[in-house]
Amino acid sequence: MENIIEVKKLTKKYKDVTAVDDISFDVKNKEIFGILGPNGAGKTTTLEMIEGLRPITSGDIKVDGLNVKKETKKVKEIIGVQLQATAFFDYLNLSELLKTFGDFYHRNINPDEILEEVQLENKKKSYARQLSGGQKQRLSVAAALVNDPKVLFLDEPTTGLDPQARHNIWDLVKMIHKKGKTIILTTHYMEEAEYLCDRIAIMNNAKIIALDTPLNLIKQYGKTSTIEFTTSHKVPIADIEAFKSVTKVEKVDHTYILHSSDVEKTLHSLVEYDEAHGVHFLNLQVKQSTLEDVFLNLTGRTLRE
Amino acid sequence: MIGKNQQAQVTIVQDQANPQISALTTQVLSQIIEGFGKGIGMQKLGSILVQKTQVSSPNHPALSPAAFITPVIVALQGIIPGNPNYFEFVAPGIIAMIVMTAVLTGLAASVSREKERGTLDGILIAPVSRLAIILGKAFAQTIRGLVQGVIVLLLAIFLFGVTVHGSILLIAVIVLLGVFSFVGLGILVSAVASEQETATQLLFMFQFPMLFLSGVFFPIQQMPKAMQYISYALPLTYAVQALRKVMILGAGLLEVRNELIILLVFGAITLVVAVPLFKRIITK
Repeated sequence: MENIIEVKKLTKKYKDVTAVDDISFDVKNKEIFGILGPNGAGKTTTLEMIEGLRPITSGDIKVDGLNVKKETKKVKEIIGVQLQATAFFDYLNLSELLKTFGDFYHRNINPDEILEEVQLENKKKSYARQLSGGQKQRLSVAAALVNDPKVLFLDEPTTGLDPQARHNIWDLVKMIHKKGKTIILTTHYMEEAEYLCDRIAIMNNAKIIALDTPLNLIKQYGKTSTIEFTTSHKVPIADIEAFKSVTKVEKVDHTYILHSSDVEKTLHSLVEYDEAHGVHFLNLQVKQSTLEDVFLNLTGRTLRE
Repeated sequence: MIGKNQQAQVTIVQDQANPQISALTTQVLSQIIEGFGKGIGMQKLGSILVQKTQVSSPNHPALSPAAFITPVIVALQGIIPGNPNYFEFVAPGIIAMIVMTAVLTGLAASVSREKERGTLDGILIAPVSRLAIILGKAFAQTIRGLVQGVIVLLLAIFLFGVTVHGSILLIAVIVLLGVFSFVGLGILVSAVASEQETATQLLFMFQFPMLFLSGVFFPIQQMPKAMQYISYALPLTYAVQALRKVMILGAGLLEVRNELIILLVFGAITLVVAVPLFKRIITK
């Protein structure tokens, strides 16, 4: 099957809010598909509708040929979902937890094997509340794997984790992908989307505004790069905003971050300013466009709040 | 005063603050005094009879003064051996009440707690039907209630001297049917009140009046007529009645047949109404 998930004209309306507005996309078999967007874009709601957790207002979703609305139970058998809140039963240890989840699928699983995959085997007698943040996320991935699903859903898998834990999860995801599973994940971290995903759908305000491989997206929409520097003297912000081809100016502590649609022209402005006012631009860095720039160009906002 | 051929008067001063105790004490005292009085009466009558008969009919057998003064004697005979006390009256009701409470509050609390805590999500993601979820919870609460009921029964027997005269099996059946009749109600409440707070408060509101109206602590016949009608609408009343019949009177299946049927019907009706309603509230 070429497309393991087909979403057609999917909409979710609440009383006064449209959370998901008429989106359509396909997920190819065995790819890692990402949905990138800021908080409130509609990513989680979309995922929940595909998982069969949230009722659909209108539209069609097919998973592995099964209609999610009509054959919800069958769909649940072949998917694995990483629970976002990771709320596990208080009085079962990890081993017992996985066995219990296995029972929900009428499967007699060996919890040690799965715990080994996520590197939590030494914690099999511990309780969920005793785990660190990163370990909890690994546990919830393990729980999502109990039924050996064809498709794995990860909702913001590294939110709130320190860099090392984050990289652990990324490695885990890649390893699961190698086994031939399709993975669909949501995130608001662009590095995550760039690193993990074969294709990305960019979501904002309940709509999908772009869908392609990270590379293509950057080529097409990432016309800006960022130029970072500090200054030897104080410079009025209006002057910096006046530099050629500057689309946005940010200042973090003493560092200026300029988003520029034409790096050459902006650098030229910097040089001119230096000559005219004697202000030196130090620690100068020019950064390649990232998905952050793509998002900025498409929406005028940043991914971060 | 007796010597002067008049009635002697003994006054009993009652402590009305403790009606039950004073009633009992008064009864016993009255009996003693009356007995004493009768004794005197028989003595006097005896001496008169002896005098009179000796004069008019010397060959007549002696007349018994007791046959004049207390011509009819009441003899008491109990249906069951031994002497039942108030504990025996109250114990069946308490057992029924505890089991019902466990099911009612337990079910509602279990659902709303899992929703708030988030553990319900893990179950919803799996291919587990919502019917299975509610039945599982009902089953778990039933067992919990039964265990509590057994503990109370054991306490009643060993600590309060309650004797069970009927079959334990029949008791178990009554309790199970009582639970069955309440499960529907429990589901209804948890369907209606989505937050745990509301559910528990609603249940408390129901339980307390139910306790007093179901004849747990005192007989229904002692209540005003209007309240009696309410009692007869409550399933707990029938469970208590049936349990009492079995535990105190040693009744068999036949005698409690009506109560069992009522419990069954009540349970079936509430379940049929409650389950579809409930499916709605088990969502994320």
